[in-house]
Amino acid sequence: MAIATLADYKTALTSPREIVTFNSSGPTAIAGRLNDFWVSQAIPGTAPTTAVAPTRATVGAIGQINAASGKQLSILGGHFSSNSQGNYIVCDRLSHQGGLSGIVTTAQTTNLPTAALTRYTSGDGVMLGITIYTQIGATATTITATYTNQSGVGSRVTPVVVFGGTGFREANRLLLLPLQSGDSGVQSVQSVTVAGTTGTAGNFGVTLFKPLYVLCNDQANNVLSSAGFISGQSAGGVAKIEDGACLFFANISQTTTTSITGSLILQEN
Amino acid sequence: MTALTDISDLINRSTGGNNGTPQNVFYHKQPRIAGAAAPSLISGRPASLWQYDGQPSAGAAPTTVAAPTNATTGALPFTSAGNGRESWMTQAWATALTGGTLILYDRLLHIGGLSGTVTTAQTVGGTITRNTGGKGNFAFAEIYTQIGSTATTITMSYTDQDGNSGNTSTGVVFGGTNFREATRAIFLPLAANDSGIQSIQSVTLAASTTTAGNFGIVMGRILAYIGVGVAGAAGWRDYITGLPSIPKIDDGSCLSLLWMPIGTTAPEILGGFSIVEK
Repeated sequence: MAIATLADYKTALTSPREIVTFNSSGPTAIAGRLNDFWVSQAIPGTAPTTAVAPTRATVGAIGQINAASGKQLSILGGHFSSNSQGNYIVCDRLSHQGGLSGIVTTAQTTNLPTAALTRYTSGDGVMLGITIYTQIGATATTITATYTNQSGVGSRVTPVVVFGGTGFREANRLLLLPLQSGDSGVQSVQSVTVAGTTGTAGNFGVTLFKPLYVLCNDQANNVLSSAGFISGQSAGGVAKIEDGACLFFANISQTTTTSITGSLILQEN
Repeated sequence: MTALTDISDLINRSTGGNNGTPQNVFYHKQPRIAGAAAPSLISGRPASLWQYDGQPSAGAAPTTVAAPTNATTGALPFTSAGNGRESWMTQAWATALTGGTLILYDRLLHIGGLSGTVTTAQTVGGTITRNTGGKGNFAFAEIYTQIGSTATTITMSYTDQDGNSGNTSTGVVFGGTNFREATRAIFLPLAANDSGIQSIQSVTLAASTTTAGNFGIVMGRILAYIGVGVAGAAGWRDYITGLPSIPKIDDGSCLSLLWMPIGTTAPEILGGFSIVEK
């Protein structure tokens, strides 16, 4: 059921399903590059060792409650403050794994394929990221992944992107992999190949996720900001949250700092 | 067309009521083309991101003239409105590795395979299927393979928004440093008193650039400008309470991106937009 009127919207804001708080002292960033807060936040997740499909109950998830039976949970807005301007992106972490190496130059299948998606199961709009859990090497090379696309077609290969070297090696970097021509999403990943050694094994993994909502932060110095569908500073509309969603933050900052604290206003309808 | 009534109407439809069918789309573009680093840019000069790798995947350099749609590879994800309804953009957002302005446009028509050494009229042709009246449509030359180092000028022969054919655009520089490299988008200005384009008959180079390369012509309609002041800044547009008002997205739109850079770094972009139907 929809929120029918402005009056109902106001009521939803003042009587939400839940106000879920978050507090993330994020990793050291590079301005404009994407970071994964999974293991750097106040209540951190752990680097996965096997292929799993995390849920809201997984340690590291924001941990919202599900909507009541037959109802749909959504994000109406949020309040937040941060020490740096930038983008705090609420994502649903659908499948992840770890234990991959920055020095292995053959196709890596450790802890792969990724665990089957339990939400957005077609894969359409699901993004493929490489999360670095322990810093890899200083030598820049490239990386590709073999995946099954949103139509269930396997053996798809991502175009190469830079991997390793400054800006592409540090812990908590989330490197997005582009898709093969004609594709719009990912169901699963079968293998990852690093073209040349980066010089250090480190530890990295595949993360399949879906961006849902963005807190657009124009204010540094921990100035309080508000975001909402009709108050601005947000993107993603009135974002739906699937039952069991493993919500976490990804971030693109204007500076090298990334901490944020605040709350999301969740409503069911 | 049925206008959106008020904020209540928007909230209702954006939460799925009254067949609002909300779409919240996210995409990313990497500064690479078929896996190779994309060319550097020129501050203040627009670049086309049509061939940038990303999600969705890259578009291909066109060959024959075509009117691309939301089903064309390279188009950002968008589902046309159903049952006679129309689509309206309520929000747009982007951030990037470098500062600039992202331009979201509907790619109405494109052609490739044109040469930087041919000095006679090169045929464009084709028929657009959206915004067919032409008002607000713009055109640019899109370079797929570098053309020559000799600067010349380019003009187009077109039919304007009132159906007047045989109009000639004002000549602009084409070829030579900064006007030759792949991904450059060289805008073609209209003749005096014109405000749009229905069709383009041909383009003509005043002289050879000395290398054929491969370029094309694109006709589009701009939908949104999203400013990203510096690297990592949140460029957001709220069309509900901000200006301009809510842009209409035509059925079948081939949503595509241009980038107006502040510096020379090819952009890495993460963005999104929200659409509701009425």
